[in-house]
Amino acid sequence: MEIQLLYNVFHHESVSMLIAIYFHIVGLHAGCSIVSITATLIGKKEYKPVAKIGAIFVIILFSISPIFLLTDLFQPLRFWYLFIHFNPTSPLSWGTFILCAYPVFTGIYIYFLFKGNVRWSKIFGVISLPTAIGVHGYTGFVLGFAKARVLWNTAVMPSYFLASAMISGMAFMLIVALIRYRFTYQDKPLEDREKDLEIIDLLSKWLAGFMILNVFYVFSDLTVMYYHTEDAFETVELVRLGKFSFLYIWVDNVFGNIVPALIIVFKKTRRSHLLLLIAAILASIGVFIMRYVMVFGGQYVPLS
Amino acid sequence: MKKEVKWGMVIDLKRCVGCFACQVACKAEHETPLGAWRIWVKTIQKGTYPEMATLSLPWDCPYCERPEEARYPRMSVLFLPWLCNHCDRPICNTVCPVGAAYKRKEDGIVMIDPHRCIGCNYCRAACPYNVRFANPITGMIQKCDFCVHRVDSGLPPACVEACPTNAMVFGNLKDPSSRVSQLISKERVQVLKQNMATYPNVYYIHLDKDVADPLKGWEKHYYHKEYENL
Repeated sequence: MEIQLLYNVFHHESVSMLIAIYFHIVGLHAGCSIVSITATLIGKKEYKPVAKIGAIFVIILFSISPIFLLTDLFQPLRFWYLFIHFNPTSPLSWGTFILCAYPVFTGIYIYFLFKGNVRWSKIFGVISLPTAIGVHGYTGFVLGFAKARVLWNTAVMPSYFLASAMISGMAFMLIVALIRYRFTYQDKPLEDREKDLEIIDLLSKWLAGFMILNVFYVFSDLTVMYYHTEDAFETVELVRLGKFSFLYIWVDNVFGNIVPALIIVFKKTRRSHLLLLIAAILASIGVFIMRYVMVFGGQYVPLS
Repeated sequence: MKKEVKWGMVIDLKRCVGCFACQVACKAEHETPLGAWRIWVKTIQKGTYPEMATLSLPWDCPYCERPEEARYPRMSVLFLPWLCNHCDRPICNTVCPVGAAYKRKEDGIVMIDPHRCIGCNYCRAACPYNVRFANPITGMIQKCDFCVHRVDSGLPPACVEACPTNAMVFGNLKDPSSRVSQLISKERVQVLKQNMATYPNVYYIHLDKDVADPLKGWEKHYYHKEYENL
């Protein structure tokens, strides 16, 4: 039996490209700061450059991320209402206050890190770590609470977002570490060179670990949704076969997660810095595509 | 103190003739901008190709892209007025970060406070019925509010008043003698997207599953090819 839609109203999309870019930037700086704080808390001296590299980018990125939020609002001059009204059931409301606490605590942590004060940087690292996880976890809850959109309304959304954030943060730090090594290795004695190589090795191994975790989240989410309600089934088919299939399956999961993980897992390919750089770049592109597909693919299926 | 008034609506789809008077009356009452609608009448055509008419010429229907579609008499056109359901458990209220979306205590109308709304669009992303829109002129999020200015003066909403066939009935769901309560008790009523646990207050009589399904008539249906021939 054929069904022809003669008239319906589609109100334009609610979540725009600005928010997709905001998710990506928040993921980047949350990932960088989690890596930086973890490196500080573990306490080994060799990991200090890791902590410092992450810290610089955190400052730059968290300064520019609120701009995307403000420009997306239809009433940007009313943004301060978010601070005077708190709705305990709304993830956006939680996020407003986490986004206030995070730069303060992370800023103090970075200050002590660069000052060289190990004790206070560790203390503020411990305080700042939950806010760093929260500042990206809350975006996962923002999407997760929107029960209308089946691609978003899943229990794995906050964890999936955090895993992707770790991938993008670590890939970013890996690129910086590789470039730094390339430009400074000739001036350094052998032991320093070895330490730099160890850091690159460590970052790439953790990156591979998070990529495998990411693929596991995607697999479990999509396979369970495949046998769920009709909208869930159509959404999975949209992502698997339809308009977003090339971007999501190939660019994000295969070239953004599986191929870089394979490059890193095998020792022969891990030794080549060029391949590691390519792996990190592919991973970064893959994470951005994931945000794009989540935001636009999630809104593609009609609701009315 | 128990609430005495809960406004609700019952729409009898067998009486709805697709005149769009409700849609036009609402637009005139609230002057909603172009492209945005507080209520609209979703229209689908469904049917099957009769096996006898194999030699007829393609039907020159402006809506049909594939001319060999459903043919009279094995077809029907179905209408579904779609508006805010004023749910008992509205997700739009849950997710509003500033509390601009609220459900009025005295009569259960889900409202938007225009003095507080910051236009973040979160409620629009969360509403399962896609009835909220962003007003490009005022920068606010708006939706059907059961013509609260008319209801407070004792009048029915504009769409209900305009309906020529009395398909739309508006009344107090808590009053057992009101027409809406009687219709809900006697007729076979349905609601839209019951599985979303929003507990809507707009009930439909004679609702067809194909007109209520948002995925029917959508541009692409991926499963069709596989499951069609089972």
